[in-house]
Amino acid sequence: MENSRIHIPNEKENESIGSSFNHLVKVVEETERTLGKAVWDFSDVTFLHPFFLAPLAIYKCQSVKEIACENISLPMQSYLNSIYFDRMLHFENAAKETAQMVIEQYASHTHIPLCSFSMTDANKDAFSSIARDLIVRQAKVGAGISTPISYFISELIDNIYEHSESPNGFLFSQFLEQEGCIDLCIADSGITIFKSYEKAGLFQEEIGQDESESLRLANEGRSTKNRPGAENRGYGISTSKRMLVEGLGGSFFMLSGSAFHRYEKSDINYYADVGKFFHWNGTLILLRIPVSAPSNFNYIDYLE
Amino acid sequence: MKQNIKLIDIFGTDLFSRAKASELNAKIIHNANEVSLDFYGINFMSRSFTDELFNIIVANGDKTFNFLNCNETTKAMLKSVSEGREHERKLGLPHPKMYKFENQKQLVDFLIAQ
Repeated sequence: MENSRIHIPNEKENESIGSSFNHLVKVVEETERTLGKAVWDFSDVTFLHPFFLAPLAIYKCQSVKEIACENISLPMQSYLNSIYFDRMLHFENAAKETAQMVIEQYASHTHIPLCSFSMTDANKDAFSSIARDLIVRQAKVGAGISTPISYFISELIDNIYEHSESPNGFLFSQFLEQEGCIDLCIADSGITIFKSYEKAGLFQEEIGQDESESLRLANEGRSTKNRPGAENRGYGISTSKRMLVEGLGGSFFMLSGSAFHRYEKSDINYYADVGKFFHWNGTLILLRIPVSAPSNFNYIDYLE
Repeated sequence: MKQNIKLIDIFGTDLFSRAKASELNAKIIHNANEVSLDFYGINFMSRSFTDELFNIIVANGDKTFNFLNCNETTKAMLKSVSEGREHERKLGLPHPKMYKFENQKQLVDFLIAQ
């Protein structure tokens, strides 16, 4: 079987989420078409945007394809090593103190390496708390931003736990000082949002075979686990998204199976189905979080 | 019988998940008729934790629950979730744009145009 050489594009620091996603689709699609070994050629790469890099690493670590990385410059190799691009840093029911000690080594960096963490009650909560603390310290943000960050991390990771059936969650974070933001990626390798509704047998008439409809319902807070009059589920994604985009002026991107959703302040708000040519195993969420909140932002206003 | 539960002693400063809240149920003494949940030192309480907390309160309907030493964000979360459980959620969202891309080129052209 022939090997395929796949060009990894160089990116700009101010790359948009859409552009990073565009690069990701190309690389994943070409890799999936490869019958032999896929060789990712980094010869042009001097910078990789976090929103391209994190999904690419998650894809590589989950893929059954044989993937080799070649022509990586020394500085780029050093960065890829430091973020655990090839193998991820795994937390398997580690005691909170142990996990904290490992993560603490990144206190003087601007990123949290690519981490996978097992989805047990205690482990995911301990990891969420440690990751939140480090993100807040690296970006030196105050309570105005740290409380929303806690909200995003807790709700999104709890959603993975409640709905995805994924054994592990993934997290990567990069503080971009010049851009004044934190790029945060939270993902799973679970059953996708579409499959979660299908399995629950809910909203099937509305969804049909259109995966983008299932994303819309999830983003509107239609939970698969709501018990009318008793519980109050389904707020996690929708409130996180409103708080991030409308409150803080950040950006939100969600990819699940064969559909994606993009929501940004500059009137970008849509859902798309790409099932004819692309499929992502699991769900991936990218958040661009500004490190300073607008003066009129109040966390409480977004709780609903 | 009165029971006082210091949440920080059980969970630390962050009350993150629904599963965590359900652990609280096991801590409530069967014959307590008044349970005070002490939020002293709690920095953050998630929406999921709060909702599950209310499920526990409903399940222990024979007991009175008090919330002590809540900070502003914890108070707001308790109020928001409590009110949310009383009323059906009115979404009132504008219908978003829905796209279907048949091939990679269509997607690339669309993303570049934005």
